Amino acid sequence: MKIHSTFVLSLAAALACSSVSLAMQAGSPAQRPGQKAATQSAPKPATTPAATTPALPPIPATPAGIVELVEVREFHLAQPYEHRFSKEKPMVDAGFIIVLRASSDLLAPRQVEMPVLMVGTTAVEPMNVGFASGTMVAIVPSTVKADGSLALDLATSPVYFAPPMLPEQLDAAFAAQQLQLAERSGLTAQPAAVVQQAKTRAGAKLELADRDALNKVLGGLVRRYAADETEVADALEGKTDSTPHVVRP
Amino acid sequence: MAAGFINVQSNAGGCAADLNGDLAVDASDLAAFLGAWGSTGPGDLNGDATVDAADLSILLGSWGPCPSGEPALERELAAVPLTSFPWASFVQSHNRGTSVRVAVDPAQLPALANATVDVFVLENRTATDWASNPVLVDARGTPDVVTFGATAATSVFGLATTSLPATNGLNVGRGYDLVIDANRNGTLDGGDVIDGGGDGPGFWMVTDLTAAGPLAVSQINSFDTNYAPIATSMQLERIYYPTDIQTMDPVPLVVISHGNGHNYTWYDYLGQHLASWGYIVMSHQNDTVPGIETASTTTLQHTAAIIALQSSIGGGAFNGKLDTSRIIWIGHSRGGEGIVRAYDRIFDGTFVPVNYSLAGIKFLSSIAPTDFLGSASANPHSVAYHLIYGAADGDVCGCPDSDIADSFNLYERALGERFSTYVHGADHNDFNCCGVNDFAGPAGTAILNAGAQAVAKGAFLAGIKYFIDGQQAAKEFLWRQYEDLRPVGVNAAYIVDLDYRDPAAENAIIDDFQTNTATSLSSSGGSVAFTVLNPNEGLLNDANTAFTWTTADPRNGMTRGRTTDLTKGFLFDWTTPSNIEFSVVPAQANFGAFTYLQVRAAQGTRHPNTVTLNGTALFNVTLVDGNGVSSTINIGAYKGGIQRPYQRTGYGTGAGWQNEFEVIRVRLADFLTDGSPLDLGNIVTVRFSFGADGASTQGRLGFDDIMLDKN
Repeated sequence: MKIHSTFVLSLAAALACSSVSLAMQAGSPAQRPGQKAATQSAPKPATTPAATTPALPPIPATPAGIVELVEVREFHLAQPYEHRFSKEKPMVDAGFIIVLRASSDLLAPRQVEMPVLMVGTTAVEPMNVGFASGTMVAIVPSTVKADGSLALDLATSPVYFAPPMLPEQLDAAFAAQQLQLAERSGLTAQPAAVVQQAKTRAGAKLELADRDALNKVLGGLVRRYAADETEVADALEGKTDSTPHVVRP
Repeated sequence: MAAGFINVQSNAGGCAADLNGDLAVDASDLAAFLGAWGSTGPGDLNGDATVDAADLSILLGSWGPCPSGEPALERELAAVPLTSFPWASFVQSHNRGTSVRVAVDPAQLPALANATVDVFVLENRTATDWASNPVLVDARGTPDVVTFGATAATSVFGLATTSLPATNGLNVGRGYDLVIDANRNGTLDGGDVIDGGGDGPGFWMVTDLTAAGPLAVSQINSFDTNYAPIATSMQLERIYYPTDIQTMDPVPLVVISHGNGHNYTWYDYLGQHLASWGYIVMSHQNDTVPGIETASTTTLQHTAAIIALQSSIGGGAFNGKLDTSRIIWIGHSRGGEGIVRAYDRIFDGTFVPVNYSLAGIKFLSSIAPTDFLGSASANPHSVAYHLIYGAADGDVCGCPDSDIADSFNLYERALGERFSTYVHGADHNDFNCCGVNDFAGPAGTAILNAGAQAVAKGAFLAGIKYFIDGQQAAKEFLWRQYEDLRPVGVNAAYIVDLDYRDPAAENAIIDDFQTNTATSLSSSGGSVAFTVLNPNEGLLNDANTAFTWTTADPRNGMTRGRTTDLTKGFLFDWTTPSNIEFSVVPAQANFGAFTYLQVRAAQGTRHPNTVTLNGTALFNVTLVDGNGVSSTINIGAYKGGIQRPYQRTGYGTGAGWQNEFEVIRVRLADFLTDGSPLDLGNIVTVRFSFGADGASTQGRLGFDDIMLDKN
């Protein structure tokens, strides 16, 4: 069975997405990693889908914004973990859990042309795919200021999809370039009121022991917002089945 | 398997000087002997690599009829029929339910011309068995009665083998010997001919490689390794194993590493299939979103985890049953590159596994891998490597504008034995259960998940059974034209191209185009002459961003290497009768030491000649010996040919996707059919000809890896 692109954005969401796309077109597109320089005049279409078969959505233009910031929840961990989504791989003991809605074109799982979700100069850790639901749950790491608050301010840092790359190759300088590219294309941070509303919707700050505990919270969110991704939710919530079953007598 | 017509030593010690197999040493043998004077054979009766006076003495000493009680002759007999010269293809593997042919060449076995004989099919016996028990007992109850003709073309007969069992425990093939009981006395003795007189069989009946094996399978749906080195959200495994594993000896471990946006639970079809054939299979959460390094890390660590934790998984269900000296890694897309990177990291010493070793990793297989990391890091080195790829892949597309999307870059870097499976009509996610539909081929060509997975099950099982377990019955499924041999469960209409190369120790390269890059000089040092048009030798890398044909990009469609890669080949076209001639250097002149001449070839996508041809490309292969004797075989004789490129559009004008290399292997002994006096011990020229005599009238091809092969 295949999952086809049946997710349809609401009219409001589509309009919001269109406005972002228009703003983005002002930016200059970055050359993709591994992409050859053109040596002759040739069209550069996305992969050509067959007209009569449902297909992976066309590769979206990036940088691109999100449709809606649904939830934002601050968390703190007693035991840090490694953030694998950057070249530096910092240890993380705090940040935001975010839930966002975005165009399924941006969320469609790909191997080569996968846009990278970023907040400011930080590549986030997606916890689910979100293609069918249009909703993604993610972790946004942040350092902690001396007063105990998070250094990252979602009201000043845009949430956006950067051009395809491997997050593990993203160093600070390259991340800064991505943010500049996004800002030049017209992408801005979510309004403070929107951020506050998302925080209110999510609930109080979490004080957790470790990443395992955080995963359980994330699993619940995936189950709630991306109901088709039961296996992902189960995995995050630690719902395992280690009993042998005879599957072929 | 018989030693073959060209191995005159196969009956040394018996009537060795009977060079033409007519059960007498006479003038015709002497003539053949004198014709080979000074060469390496045939006629080298004392095995000193020269036909000389010492051999003449042996020949004259055995003059006359071969004495009674002589052993039967060992020859290739089991075959599939061909509609043109050489009339029969002597192969070992036959699908269950098919009629195996018995074939002889009366020019080489004159005693069988027009003879009526009994043909026995027997359960495989070892040489020792045969020595102690020559009584013929047909596995089917009664032998076939066959009357051969006077020529090879009229001496190919179907045997009643359609009900012959193929089941044989965990072996995919069941071995049989084939005997021509010429004197019809029910005993293997002088005058008879046997295929399978050694320890190995004459042929294999092969079970359906896409069907479940004989073992019951158990599955652990989601085991939490809680293995500290693995990232917290990446610790789950799904495990498949033979239910009765505790009654078995330790078995190989197969690790499956999924791709980006995929799930470790999506490969039940493969895990259950391989477990039913005697393997422990583990599919794990794979850290592909950050990239390839992280994916490779999870492959490395999950392999360590299942080994370390085996006593606690499923109550110790397979504790002590993992053979860590036989590990197979299979990866899909980013995971397909990840497994190669994982191997490279151990190879480079940047990762040191704690409970297994590089030597224990015996086989890698990538399903449509990415190539983010490039030449130095996404490198399989010399481990046995397989790549399976769907031509309708809408993600890792094989497109000309991005090296990352060119899966075959990894394949071309593999230095050891390797094979590839190129599947028309399959897309990227047809190789798992549940990925998004990325089909990007022409309407009406999709083979969907079930079709692609049938091909995949057959390819993986054949590869693992051959590379890991050494089962010869599986090998021909790695290289014979798919039109000639495919797993029983694969739809007969599917188009699949196979490329194959044995380890270097079994080859002698005539030209792999890696050195001596002038078109007039082969990599083995021989001269190359040609009358084909537009010859071009160089890196197999499409140099621009489109598949549209242009003379400025002679290697159009060759999405098989980055500019930092080394893989090279030779391209040319023709519209009139023309050829390429490779002079054989003296050190390689003895083709008799090998079994096959092979070349891999691909049509040049969207080239005007390819468009006009609009079908399978065929050419002729000619060997010429030092006496000027030649023999020619059209590759179409073996069915198939060089496939028309998958008619996918995009990236410019026209239809046709990346160039599809597939291997052509021609059995050297086939050139001797119908009494050809060609001296395989002294070949001076290999000629490929086009445009006439059954070859395609026009076309454009890429050639690579022209070599001799022992097996």
